[in-house]
Amino acid sequence: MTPNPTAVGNPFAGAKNQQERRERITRWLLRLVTFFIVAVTLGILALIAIKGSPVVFRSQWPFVNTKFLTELPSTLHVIEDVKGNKQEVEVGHADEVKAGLGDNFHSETTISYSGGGILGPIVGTALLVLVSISVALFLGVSCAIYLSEYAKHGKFLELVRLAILNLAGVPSVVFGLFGLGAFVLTAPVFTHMPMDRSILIIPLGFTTLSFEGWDTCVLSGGFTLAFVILPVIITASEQCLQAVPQGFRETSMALGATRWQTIRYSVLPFAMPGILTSSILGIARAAGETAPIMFTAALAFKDKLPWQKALPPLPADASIFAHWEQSVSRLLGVFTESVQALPYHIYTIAAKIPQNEYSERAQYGSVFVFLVLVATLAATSIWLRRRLRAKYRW
Amino acid sequence: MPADLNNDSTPSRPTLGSLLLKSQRRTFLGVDKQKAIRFFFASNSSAAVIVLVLIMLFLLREGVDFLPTYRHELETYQHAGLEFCDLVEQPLAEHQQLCSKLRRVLSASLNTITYQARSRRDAAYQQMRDVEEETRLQRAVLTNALAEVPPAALEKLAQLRQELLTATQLAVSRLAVPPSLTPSEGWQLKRDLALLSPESAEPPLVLELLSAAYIRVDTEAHASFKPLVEAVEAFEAAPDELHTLLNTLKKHARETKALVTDFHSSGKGHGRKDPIDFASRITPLTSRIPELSGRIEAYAQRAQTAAASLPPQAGTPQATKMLSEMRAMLPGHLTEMRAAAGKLPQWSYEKRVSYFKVVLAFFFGDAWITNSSWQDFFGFIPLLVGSVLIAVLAVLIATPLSIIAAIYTNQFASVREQDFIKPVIEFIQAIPSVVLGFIGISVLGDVIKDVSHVSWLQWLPGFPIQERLNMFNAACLLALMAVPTMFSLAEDALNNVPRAYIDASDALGATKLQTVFRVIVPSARSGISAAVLLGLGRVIGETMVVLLVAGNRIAIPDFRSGLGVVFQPAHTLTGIIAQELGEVSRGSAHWQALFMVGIVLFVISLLVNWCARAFVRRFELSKS
Amino acid sequence: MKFTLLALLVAMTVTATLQAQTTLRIRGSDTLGAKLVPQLAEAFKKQAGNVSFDIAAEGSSTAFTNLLSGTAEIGMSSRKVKLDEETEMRSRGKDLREFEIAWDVIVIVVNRGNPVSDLKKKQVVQIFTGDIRDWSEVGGNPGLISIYTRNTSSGTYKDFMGLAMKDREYGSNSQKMAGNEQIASEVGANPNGIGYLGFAYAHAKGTKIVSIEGALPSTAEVKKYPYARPTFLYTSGLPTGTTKQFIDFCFTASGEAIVTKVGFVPKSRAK
Repeated sequence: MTPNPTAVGNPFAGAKNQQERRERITRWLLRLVTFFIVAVTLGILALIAIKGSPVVFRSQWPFVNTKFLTELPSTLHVIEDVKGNKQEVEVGHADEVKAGLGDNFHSETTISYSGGGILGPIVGTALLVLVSISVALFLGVSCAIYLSEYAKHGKFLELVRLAILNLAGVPSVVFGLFGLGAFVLTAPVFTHMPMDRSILIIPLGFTTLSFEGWDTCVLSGGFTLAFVILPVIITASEQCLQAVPQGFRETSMALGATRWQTIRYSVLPFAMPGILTSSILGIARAAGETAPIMFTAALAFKDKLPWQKALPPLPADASIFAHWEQSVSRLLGVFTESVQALPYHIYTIAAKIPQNEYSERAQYGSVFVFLVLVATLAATSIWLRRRLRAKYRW
Repeated sequence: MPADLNNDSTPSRPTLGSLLLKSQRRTFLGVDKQKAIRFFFASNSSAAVIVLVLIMLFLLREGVDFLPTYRHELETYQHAGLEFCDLVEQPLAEHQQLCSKLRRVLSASLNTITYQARSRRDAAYQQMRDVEEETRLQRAVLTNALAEVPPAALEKLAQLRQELLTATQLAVSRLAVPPSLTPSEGWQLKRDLALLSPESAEPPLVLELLSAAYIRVDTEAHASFKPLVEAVEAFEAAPDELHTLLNTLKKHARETKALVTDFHSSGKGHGRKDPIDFASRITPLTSRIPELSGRIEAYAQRAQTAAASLPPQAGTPQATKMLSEMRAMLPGHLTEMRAAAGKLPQWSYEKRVSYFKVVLAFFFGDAWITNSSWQDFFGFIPLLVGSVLIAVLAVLIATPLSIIAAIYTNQFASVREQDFIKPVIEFIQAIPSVVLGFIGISVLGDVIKDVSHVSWLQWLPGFPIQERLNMFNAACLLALMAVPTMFSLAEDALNNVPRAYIDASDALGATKLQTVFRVIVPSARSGISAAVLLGLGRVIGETMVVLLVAGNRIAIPDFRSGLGVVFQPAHTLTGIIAQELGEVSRGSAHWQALFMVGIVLFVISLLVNWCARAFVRRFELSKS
Repeated sequence: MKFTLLALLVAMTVTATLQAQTTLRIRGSDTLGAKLVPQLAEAFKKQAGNVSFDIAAEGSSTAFTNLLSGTAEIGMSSRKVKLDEETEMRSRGKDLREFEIAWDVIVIVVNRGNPVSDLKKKQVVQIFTGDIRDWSEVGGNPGLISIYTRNTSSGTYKDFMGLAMKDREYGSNSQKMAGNEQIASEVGANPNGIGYLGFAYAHAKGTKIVSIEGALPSTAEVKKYPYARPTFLYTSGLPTGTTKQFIDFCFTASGEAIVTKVGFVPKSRAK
């Protein structure tokens, strides 16, 4: 600092210096606290990345541990020989290895869920997300269109907004209870033989409509998750709709279009990219929730993918229609099975298996994959939103 | 948006275009296409309202029967006479606490004499276990070979023995002799341990000697604290006769309860049995009231005599203090016992259990006991206390952090810093809670525990801690989860401060810091409070972290340990649902109780939201 | 509304797929379901080929709730069925069949660093009911005892109450853990911890088995140890088809070999 001649004898100079120092110190303290949060977050991510990435990536081609991503979870057998050497063996090979060791075989420990890969949970989560995002987008965008394009100020609008706000605050485990009560135990199905627990049976002649619930399955879980993310979708969609300039609507109206035509041709096309982008955040949220699917869809262990269900073999002379029917029922059957899901899988391996060097791999590997999936979704959403903002600047 | 744009009134003279349009406008039941579309969207927009109502409905449907079911259970508890037994049993439980104190006093006193011998023996045994652990492979092989039914070849056995010996010697050579043993003892220990084999049933000689030495010292110690030892024994034995009688009564009550259960479950089927004659079932209990009171009195007398014979001083000052604590507690306990005896004659099995009482038992009950072989209780307080304590702690941690971060980012940070900080903090939201729970179990728990054992931190309350899974651990993770919510809301609140306020402050010559802390932050206060409240709402409803990390102890935390209470484990409202709901049969009292907990959670979340809105509204008013 | 339309669609698929179930769904005890039954299932699959298993182990109570609602073919339970559960099954016209597949030993474990290595039966009762609160009361180093138990729906939770606690209530200072493995790892990490485990889980890192009045648990004379109990599979009605094959498999020599390997004692050798 250049010496300032006028400062000489200035009675406030000292105080000012002191004050400046105080300002600087405070500023640094604030910065310290802020970067503490940042450091903790990055630390957690780094920890997971460091411990998890060796499980998923390989130093050689194809650089990815395809086994971990394409196999179902299974029990890991750790076989110890008399010399104390341990080797890890997948389920199918334990007996061969033991036979090979012969007399040298000492002991075998098994660690559930730690062998194989995590394809089952990944597929399950994908199915759950598919169902939930379809339902939530449908309901959410319709709701947003009404709120932004049709609704007038009034009691109803107030009520809807209040409900959305409150819905956003409902604990996820309460959604789980709701899903259990509503979808698992009460939702309507067509069946010839209604169960005892059905609360209402409507005979339809050729079959009956029975309110006996869907049992724990992808649909129950997906619908439950849909309501968890509904507020997110509604809010985001409404923002996107409102970002479309008023002039677009007025121009369309002036040309004689009806309200629906205006929405269909002049508003939605411009809002849709934004809506879809923001809904990716909803996907990330749906993929990450555990409590809502605990009682409605998730299963700790399943040794088949949802579509690999054993169906009764068709007779050799079965018509093409029978084949067609079977593949359709196989396809739709995917949604009526309970599945493994990534978050629930992580809960299982965090709480129900021991913490040691063998289980750690499965644990950190799953967490890493899960986090990468969720983070990619979130990051894509943020990035796309930025690009969109740059593109549609009105 | 002007509403009359909606109005599609037909022009007076139809043009070709309007005719074409009109031809499309078919009506169905008086509703044209536009109206139908509008109605469709409106009905969809009510989805949120409907879902909220449905949540409440379904929770109530499963939960509302809880009150009658629980009432029935409590009535059975009363009619079968379980309550009668508990009248005596519950105050008697304090006897064990007093005993526990006495046993600790005794052990501390004896320890003054036996400490050295005991620790020497324990250290030596620990060494033996270490050696055994190191050589467990070879030992197992040898044991298996010895157990083989056609016995293994001698050479093979010899070879295995040799292997074991080598391994043992290796393990022994790595041992560090504990300082409490003399060098010669250490040498002997090493020599004996090196010869350990699975066939020798007796422990090595040194260990036997050390054990014998300990027993000798222990006998001496018992002799020198003879009055204390005898008094403690007498005190422990004081309620024996009372217990015997009580157990007979309890057995009878339990049988009655089984009859009731049987009666009700068979009622659902076909063979309906005769209702139970409670009056005759209860007489065997009530007829023994005089005997019971007599034994209670005898117990009180004996306990008093035993307490009187306790020496005034124990071995250590701490033990003496505990002894006087125990003495201070005894009269209260005995009064309670006598009061219980007094209550017995008034007790009646027929008293009705009112719904008010049932509600009270749920909302203010201090025990959540399920799958019990005596009586299930669904008391809500331990869970609520756990939930609230964890949530408040999390908010206390998160509030300063996130608000300071918001102030810094909003007011001081450069644009580049902002571009770094904001996405990172927003990203926390994307981390699924189960991942944080996993971090808590696998990393944070051990970190907190290790830190609590650092010697220069021992002045902190509750240190050193012994549980990895505790409320503080959960609260730290929940605080991290609450940070993004609170951060972004607080930043919004700071952004909403009118520009004029800042300009005015600048014009008055305030420094940046003064402007921030005396103008901006105070005027954003209610926005910040709303942020804190919404953070609280987020935290109290969180499930996976608390389920995995909080330690799941269903008890009201012991607040006597001051602030150290946060290092105790606890169970929570959300955690109990997640842990127990998957496992109970539908329609049972337990199932319904869990749905009741869900209802309470739902109401809490609505309340928190409402409060936050109220804050924001006040904030908006004060601004205008 | 679309909502009901979707529901209808779903309903149709449910009816279409309900008949095609050949998977064996097994529900119930964590003690059996975490290790023994999955391994029996794996071995059975190798032998019988085209079977698929669907195993969830959340606690013995879930065996009966699932059998009752027809969502499981086999229930695993580490305790005998309770009277009210049986009557409820019967009232719904379901006939519960019981198969005692193996004996399990519940061992009491403490941290390896804990000097206490033997407990009296009475002390066990007192510790788990919370009457004894400090290790110095049973000859250990002073320190509050941390009790780790299974969660309340577990059969082990209930069995232990009957076997070791004279049907008294667990102390309020007990912590409810999700499974055997979690108890083992917490006891291993806490120098003042105590807990109980199925024998199959007993040799975990950092833990030590406590002898009860001098008796160490052994699979050779399982019924002599105070805390041993039988474990069961349940079916509703006489098992048929694959279910029967699987249950029969558990009693064959190769099935019993697996039972032994996992740390249980086959019924035929329990004495």
